[in-house]
Amino acid sequence: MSRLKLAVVASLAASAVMATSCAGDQSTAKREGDGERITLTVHRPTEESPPDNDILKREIDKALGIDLRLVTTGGTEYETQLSASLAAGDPPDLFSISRPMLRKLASQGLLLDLTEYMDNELTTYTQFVSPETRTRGKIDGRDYALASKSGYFYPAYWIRKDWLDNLGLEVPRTVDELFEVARAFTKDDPDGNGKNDTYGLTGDRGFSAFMPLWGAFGSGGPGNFYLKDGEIVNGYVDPATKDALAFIQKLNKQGVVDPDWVTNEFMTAHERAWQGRAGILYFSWSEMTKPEFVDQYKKANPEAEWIQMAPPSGPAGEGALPRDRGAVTLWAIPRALEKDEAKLQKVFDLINFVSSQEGNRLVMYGLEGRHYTLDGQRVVPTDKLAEEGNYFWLYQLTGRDDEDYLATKFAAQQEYIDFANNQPFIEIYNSLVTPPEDYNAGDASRFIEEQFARFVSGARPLSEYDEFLDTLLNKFGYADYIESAKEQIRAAGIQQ
Amino acid sequence: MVSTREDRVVNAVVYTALVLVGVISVFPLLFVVSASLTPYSEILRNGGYVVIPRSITLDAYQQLLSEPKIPRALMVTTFITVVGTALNMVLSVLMAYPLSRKDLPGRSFFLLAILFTMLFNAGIIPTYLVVKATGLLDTVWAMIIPNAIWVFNVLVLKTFFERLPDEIVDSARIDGAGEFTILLRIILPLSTPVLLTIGLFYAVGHWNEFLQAVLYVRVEELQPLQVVVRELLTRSQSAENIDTALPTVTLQMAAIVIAAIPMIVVYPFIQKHFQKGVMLGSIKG
Repeated sequence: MSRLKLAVVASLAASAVMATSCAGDQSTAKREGDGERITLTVHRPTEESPPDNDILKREIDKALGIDLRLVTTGGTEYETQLSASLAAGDPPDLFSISRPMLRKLASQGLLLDLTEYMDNELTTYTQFVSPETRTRGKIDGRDYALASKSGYFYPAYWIRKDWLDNLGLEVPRTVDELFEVARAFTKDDPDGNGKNDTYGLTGDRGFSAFMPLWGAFGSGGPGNFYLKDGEIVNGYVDPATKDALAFIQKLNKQGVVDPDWVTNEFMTAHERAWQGRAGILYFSWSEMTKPEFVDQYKKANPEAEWIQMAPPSGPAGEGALPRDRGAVTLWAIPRALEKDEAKLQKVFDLINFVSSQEGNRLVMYGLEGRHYTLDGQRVVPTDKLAEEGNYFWLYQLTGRDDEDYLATKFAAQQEYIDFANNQPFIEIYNSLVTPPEDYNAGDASRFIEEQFARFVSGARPLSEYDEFLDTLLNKFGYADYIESAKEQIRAAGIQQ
Repeated sequence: MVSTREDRVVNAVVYTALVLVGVISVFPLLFVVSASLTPYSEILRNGGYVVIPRSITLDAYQQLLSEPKIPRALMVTTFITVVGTALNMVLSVLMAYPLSRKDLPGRSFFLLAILFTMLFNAGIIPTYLVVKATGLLDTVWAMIIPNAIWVFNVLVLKTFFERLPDEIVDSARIDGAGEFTILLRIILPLSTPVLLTIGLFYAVGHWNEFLQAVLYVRVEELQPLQVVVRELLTRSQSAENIDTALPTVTLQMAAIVIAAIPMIVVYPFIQKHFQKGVMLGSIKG
């Protein structure tokens, strides 16, 4: 029986050897490419990934002489994976991060200081984005990340025009008119089906239903940082927020808002509206007007007609929407790459390429002749663009010129695009702020999430708001957070 | 046995409770399956909730299976499950059997050592460093080897082996059998229930593989099924990706069905052994 023993041991040993050697081969193969082209790994946080037949990758590889690996990881695991690979000394060559992470990694010395390169190797990039955009990637005056261009603003209030017509109502322009319309939508059976199954507004747990309302009372939105009378204020502290809350509580208490908003996820709210359960919704034109979506909701509700609506005006004057122009993608390069000059240059080449006219056009529209044709300087999309171009945005590392892009790709929705982007805005500066070292963001946000929603829904009376604010500012250290935020915003050059 | 009135009442209560629990457990699955078969516009029309589908469409399944992503992920997961479980069982049995022999020198030391690993874990970054150093990063084996032995399962196997009568082992030894023969010819055939049970634990664990894949495998082609399905379920719209269509409920539910059904189908076949197997690992007496 020792032969059996020998056989078993031998086969186990063989498979172990095979496993590790296979592993070794594969990993080296992936690292070095075919020896001639440099492999670049780029990581970004998103659930989508490029398809197998990646046309853009082929073109970029050809143009730059590299083997580009774009890796996407969704959700919360992205930062875990990134931290692990940075700690292990095995980071991607270019990766996207949030501003808090940028500050942390820069202070740990893990990121390459790009300041010297900005006006030399990266001039194509610096010409592509505005100086204001560039400041988004700066920490204490030095460039540690490359910010992408910010785009158009997409969301707006949408309202059921057919319901308004059925009830003989006009599009509401003030908050009081909005309340009346919402009440009518709830009580007066606007879809004429004899059932009491409709609401005025619906939204998700991120307070989307109420986003355009803060501005009518002079608030920039809870938790946001904005300028008021030349001073930087925080939305929770601003007394105007309390005024807005009074109105929003009225909406909720009178039952004109779909009560499920408190638990709705992002898409659920949308579906509710599409089902014909509510008549006012705050959403992007991209979801409301793209033909494939219109098809869906028309099948469920053939008479549905949605139109956009400006943020209503209120006691503080004209309505406005909070807008953070700094909500861009930040790209950082690991410090270790300093030693690999050839690879570092290729990373710069990549950034410059997608910021150049030719490269930007490639990642926006694809291949000339296949995805679009040129009519003089104007880009005319072909059918293939919609069919094959859904993942192109993954390669738009430094952003795109939304004006051209949207006009070209979504010509049919131009009026909706312009409407949404031309609404009155209150500038908010949240993206410039990172919490101070000793601030416990987790506890504070949990407290806020629990309590603030109750104020919004009316479960907690406004008389207790000051108490909530006091606890937040002192017990949870929010006051220190605000002070630090003000300094950071001032340091970035805001506040006249 | 005479069934008293009290017995009948108790029975009725127990049966009612069990039926209720059964229905509550099955209901979500029923919803998932019917939502995956109902066209999206139907779902919208019915207030987002369809229990018995009125019109059936296989579009979602067709869409998912025609793109290479899901079938490839299915193959990766099947590979990990089959090969991984085989490796797990071989390693776990080879570890459990010697530990079950009371005459093993240094037995308590080894037992303590592996128990230690059950209580204390190295953490994400040290483990990552080890995986990287052994060259397993970005390969299929990163999802099989690092977690190849679950100490809990080894202990269950060990306890079961201990409970087998010593006489059988002794008599085989007298007849001149070597250790491997005893293991293969005597111990294993007697252990079918526990082997199937532990094998199922490992298999389900592999089928649900998620965290290891996300941490160690940054290559699209090797992503297992759960990662791909999760992508479909958590997608939301941002300003940049306005080009892509968000997956509809139908599509998402179809993805869940594809991810869940294979395991659900396998369970009944192992069921009868499973019942016996779980109890058999318990402490004797």
